[in-house]
Amino acid sequence: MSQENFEQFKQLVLQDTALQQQLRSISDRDQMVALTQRLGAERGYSFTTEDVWAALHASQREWIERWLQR
Amino acid sequence: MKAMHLVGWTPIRIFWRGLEPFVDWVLLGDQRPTEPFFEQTIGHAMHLPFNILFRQRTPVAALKELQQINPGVPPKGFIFHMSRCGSTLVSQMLASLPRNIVLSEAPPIDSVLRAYAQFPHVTDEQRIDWLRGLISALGQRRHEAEQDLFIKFDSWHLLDLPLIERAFPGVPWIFLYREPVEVMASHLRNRGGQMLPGYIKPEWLDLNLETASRLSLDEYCARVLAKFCETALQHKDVGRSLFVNYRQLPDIFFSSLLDHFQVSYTPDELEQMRRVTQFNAKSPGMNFTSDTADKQQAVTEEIRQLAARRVGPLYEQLEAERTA
Repeated sequence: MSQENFEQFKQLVLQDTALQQQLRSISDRDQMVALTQRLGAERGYSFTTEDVWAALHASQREWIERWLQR
Repeated sequence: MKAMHLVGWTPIRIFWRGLEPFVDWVLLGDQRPTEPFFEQTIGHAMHLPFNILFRQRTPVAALKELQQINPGVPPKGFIFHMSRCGSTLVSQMLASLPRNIVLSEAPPIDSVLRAYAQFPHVTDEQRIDWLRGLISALGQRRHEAEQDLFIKFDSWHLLDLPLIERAFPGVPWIFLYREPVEVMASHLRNRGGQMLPGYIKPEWLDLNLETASRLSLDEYCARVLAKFCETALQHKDVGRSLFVNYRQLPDIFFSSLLDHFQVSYTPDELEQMRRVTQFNAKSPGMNFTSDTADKQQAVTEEIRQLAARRVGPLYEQLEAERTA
């Protein structure tokens, strides 16, 4: 459920340039994950930092494996 | 996802799910694509955790929708080449000016042009449509100074020149070439993917995959180079062309090439571009040193003969056209 909440928050971010700029400015992964969780919570999206890490790792894996999926 | 939410986002990958193409987008922000190859720009962008976590994905139709609401800078010039012949220097000189957006061998462009390889049902009209949308999206102005868009294609895209001309009629193009034995020496040292059988359509070389695979890699390389040169010659009257020999670089850049692309620059801008020539175009952290003599010495007699027999006559024709 909380992963679904993260996905919903992600859709919000993709439509909100201010949120995009705020999140894009972070180069450290720990800070980025923490900020994502906090910004989500402030807007009523309930998910944990573990959910964000899981999404980050899944997306990273998919990107690395792109050469296998062409 | 509405097209308005893609404004400012850059398409970095086109891929297929089943029979449908999709696009991955990231935010480059202030990052200009000044690296020698667009793949490196993507690599830098993907260092940011945001672009991993919030990379967005759309159907390919989103390219056209974005083009309609936020068209990019139209292409000012195209760079084709036979590989390993100075094209990266030309693109790096152009990219040194903030007014230029330069896309150098961008993988999504390759994905569109080579879509037929995996998906024979894809039509030329679809490729043209996607190419226009994609280049428009890649050419979105993200800095006020940006005025012109230049595209350096992968070497094998020359074979699609008529389709590219249909997509962007009238855009001036150049074809860069070099003494064939020097190009073969470069591939001998570090063979490009296009020099392996199967990467480009074997039919383009009047081969099939089986006959292509039976050739030695050097023989295959010579045939590919010959095909590139032959194609440039065949299409010399398509749009506005200019043949450029590696030996003419960098001087021709200032004497003819900029006129051909219909651009003019201030003395300071010209000086900025001239400074690029001091460095190795593919490794800008290193100074440029000519490797022509090394390349001439590095090849075997067999390669020398292959280059002379397969590519030599076409090279001479290019020279004749260039100096006519």
